[in-house]
Amino acid sequence: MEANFDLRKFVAPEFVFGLDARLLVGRYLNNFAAKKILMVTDKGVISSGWLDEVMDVLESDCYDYEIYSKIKANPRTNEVMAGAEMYLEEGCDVIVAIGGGSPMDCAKGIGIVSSNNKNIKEFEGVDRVSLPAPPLICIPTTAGSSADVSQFAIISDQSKGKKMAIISKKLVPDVALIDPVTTTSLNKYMTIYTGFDILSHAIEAYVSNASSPITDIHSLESIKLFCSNILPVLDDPENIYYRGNLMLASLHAGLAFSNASLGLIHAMAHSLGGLKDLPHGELNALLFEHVINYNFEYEPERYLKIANKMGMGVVTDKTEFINGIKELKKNLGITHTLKDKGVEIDDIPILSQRALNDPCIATNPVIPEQSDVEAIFKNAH
Amino acid sequence: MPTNPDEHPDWNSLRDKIIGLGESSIQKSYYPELQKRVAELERFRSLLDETNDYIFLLKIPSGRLSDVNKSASEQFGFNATEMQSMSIHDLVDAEELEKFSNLFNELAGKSQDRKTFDSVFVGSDGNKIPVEISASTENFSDEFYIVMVVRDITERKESENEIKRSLEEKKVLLREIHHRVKNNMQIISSLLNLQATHTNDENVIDILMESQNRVKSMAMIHEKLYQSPELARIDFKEYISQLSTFLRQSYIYINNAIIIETEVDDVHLNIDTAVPCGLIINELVTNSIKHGFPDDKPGLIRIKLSESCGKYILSVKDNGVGFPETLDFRNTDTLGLQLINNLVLQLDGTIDVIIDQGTEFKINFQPMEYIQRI
Repeated sequence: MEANFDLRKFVAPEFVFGLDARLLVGRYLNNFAAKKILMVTDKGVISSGWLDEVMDVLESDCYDYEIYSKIKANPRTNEVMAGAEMYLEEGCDVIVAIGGGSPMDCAKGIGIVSSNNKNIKEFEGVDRVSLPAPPLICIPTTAGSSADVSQFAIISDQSKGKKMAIISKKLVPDVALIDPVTTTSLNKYMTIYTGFDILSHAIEAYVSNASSPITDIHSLESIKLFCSNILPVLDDPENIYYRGNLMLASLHAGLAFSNASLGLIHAMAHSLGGLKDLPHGELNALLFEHVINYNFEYEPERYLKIANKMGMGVVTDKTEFINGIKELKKNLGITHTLKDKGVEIDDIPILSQRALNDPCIATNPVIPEQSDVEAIFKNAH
Repeated sequence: MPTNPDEHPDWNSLRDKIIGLGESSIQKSYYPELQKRVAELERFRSLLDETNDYIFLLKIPSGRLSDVNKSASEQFGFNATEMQSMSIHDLVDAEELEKFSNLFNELAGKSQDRKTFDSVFVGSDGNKIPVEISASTENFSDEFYIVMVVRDITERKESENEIKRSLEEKKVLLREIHHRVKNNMQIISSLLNLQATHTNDENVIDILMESQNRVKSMAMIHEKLYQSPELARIDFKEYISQLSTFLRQSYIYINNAIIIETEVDDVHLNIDTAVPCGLIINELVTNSIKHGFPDDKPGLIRIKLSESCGKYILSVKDNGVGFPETLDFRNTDTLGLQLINNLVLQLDGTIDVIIDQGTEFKINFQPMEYIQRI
C-alpha cells in the first residue's frame, strides 16, 4: 500500500469521555464565564430524565438558564431560527446541547445564526460560516450522530423538502462531555439505528478520498468496537460495558468522519431524509450494502480490511463482504427496504439528483453518475 | 523503591490535572477575560454616553463619522446605521464648513496635535448651536482620526452677551451722569459769573472769578471723562492744554503778554487723581498770572507733567518776579495756597518751591487708587 503523506488537518473539540462526564458541565460553564445559558434539548431527553440531572448542576451553581426543546427529529430551519431568537432575546451567552443528533445540530445552527445574524439557509455548503458561534457544550445521549465532535450540521429545509449540509470548522463544539451512562436508557430501535450511523460514519470515513493515517485508526477501531458490542447490548441494554464501547465507537467514528468526511451513503440518506422526513440511522442501514456494492471496486483493499475489522474473518471478495453485511443486518432485524418506508420509484430521479448535490459526494471514492445513483436507489427499493 | 501513586495524594491530583480533570485543566479560555474587558468597555462607553458634551470620532481628511456618543446622536438625531453614511459636514453650519475642511487638511498626517476653537453646529431641529470644540488627532491602524469634543456654549454665549449689553448700558448711564455733573458745574460757573456782574467790588469780582475757574477746571474733567472711550480715565495732556488755554483767556484782561507752554507726557489719570491735580494746576497758574508778572510784564509759564515708573512729577514754573521769600507757602492764609497744600495732601504727594529766576512749584505724587465709596 502506498504511504499517504498528503496534507491533512485534524480538528477535534476538547472532550471528556467517561462515566458521569455530563456532570462536569458546571466547570465548563464557569470557564466560559457563562451568565445565561440556553439549554437545547428535545422531548425525548426531557422524559428520559437526563436533563434534570444537568439542571441540578446548573441550579446548585446558581446559573440562569432557558430551555429550548421545540425540536423534532431532523431539525428544521424554523426550529433553528426560533431557537436563535430565544437565545438573543433572553441575552444568553453559552449554549448547552443535550440529546442526540437533532438537538445538537439544532444547537450548532442556533449558535451560528445568533453570532452572524443571518438566516440559517445562508450557511448551506462548506466553509460558509464567517463568525464562530458562542461557546457550545455538547452532551450526547445517543451513540451514533457524533455531532458533539463533528464539523457537520444537517438541517431540514421544509420549504424545499431537502436537507442542508452545513460543514464548517466553526461548527465543531467547544466541549463534548461524552458520558455512556446517558445511553443506558435508549430503546432497542434507537440503539440499532443510531448504532448503524456509527458504522456508516466509520466505513465512509475509511474509504473517503480525504482519509488520513490518523482518521484510519479511528475508523477501524470504531468498526471493531461497534461490531463486537452491538449484538450483546441488545440482549443486555443496561450493561455499561457494552454501552461504553458503543459510545467509544461513536466517538472514534465522529473523529474520523468529521475530518475525512463521508460519502454516497450519507449523500443519499440526506436526500431521502429531506424528501420523506425518515429517521437518518434507519435510512443509512437500508442503503448500506447497496452503496458498498457500487463503491467496492474503487477501494477493494480498504473494504476487505473493513470486513476483517467487522469480524468476518478472512474475506477475499465483494460478494463475501456483502453477504457478511446482510448477515449483520438480519441479526439486527433489519429486513425491510426503502419501499416499506413509503419511498416511490417515481421519487428516485429527484432523490438521485439531490444526492449528487450533497457535499458528501465530494469525498466518495468515486463521483457517481446520476444513473449510478438511480440504480443504487432502485436496488435498495 | 518505587512509590505507589495511590498513596501519594499530590501525585494523584497531578495525574488528574495531566489527564485534564483539574478545575482549570482547560485548553484555552479567553472568555472570562473577554467578558471582563467587554464589561470595562461598556463602563467606559457609559462614561462617554452620560456626558453632556457631544463626542465624535472622525476620519480625516474626509470628516466621516466613525463613532459618536449618545448625546451627539440624540442632539443631531441619527442612529448608528445612519451615522455610517454621515460626515461632520452634515452637522456644521454652512458658513463654518471651510473652517473644518482647512482644519482637517492641516491636521491630516499629524500624529499628535490638538486644536481648540469656537464654531456653530446645526441641531436636528434646525437651530444653530454655538459650540466650543476641542479636536485632537489620533492614529489607529495607520489611519488618521480626530477625537472631537463639542461643547454647547449657548448659555455661555447668552450670558456673555448679557454682560456686554449690561456693560454698555452702564457706560451710557455713566456718560450721562458725567455730562450732567459737567452741566451742573457749568451752571454754577455761570451763576458765579452772573453774580460777579452785580457788583463793582474788585475783590468780590476776583473771588467769584477764582471760584468760577475752580469749578470750571473740575467741569472740564467731567467733560473729558464722558468723552473718553473708557470712561474711567482721561487724557491729561489734552486736559492740561485745554485748561491752560482757558486760564490764559480768562485772565487776559490782567496781562495779555503771558505765554503758557505745556510739556506733558502721554498720561491718563483717573478721576480721583485728575480732580485734585487739575485744581492744583488751576491755582498755581492763576497765582502766577496774577502775581508773577506785575505791570503787564511779559512772561512764560511752563506746565510740565512727566511720568517715570508709575511716579509723577508736576511742575509749574514761571520766569516772573519770584515767590516772596518771606512767605511760607505751607503756612499761609491765602485760600489758593491752602487749597494747594490740601490737594497735595489729598494726593499723598510732596510739594517743593524753587525760586530761581522765577518760581517753580514741583509736586511729586502717585496716582490714587480708586476707592469704592458705595
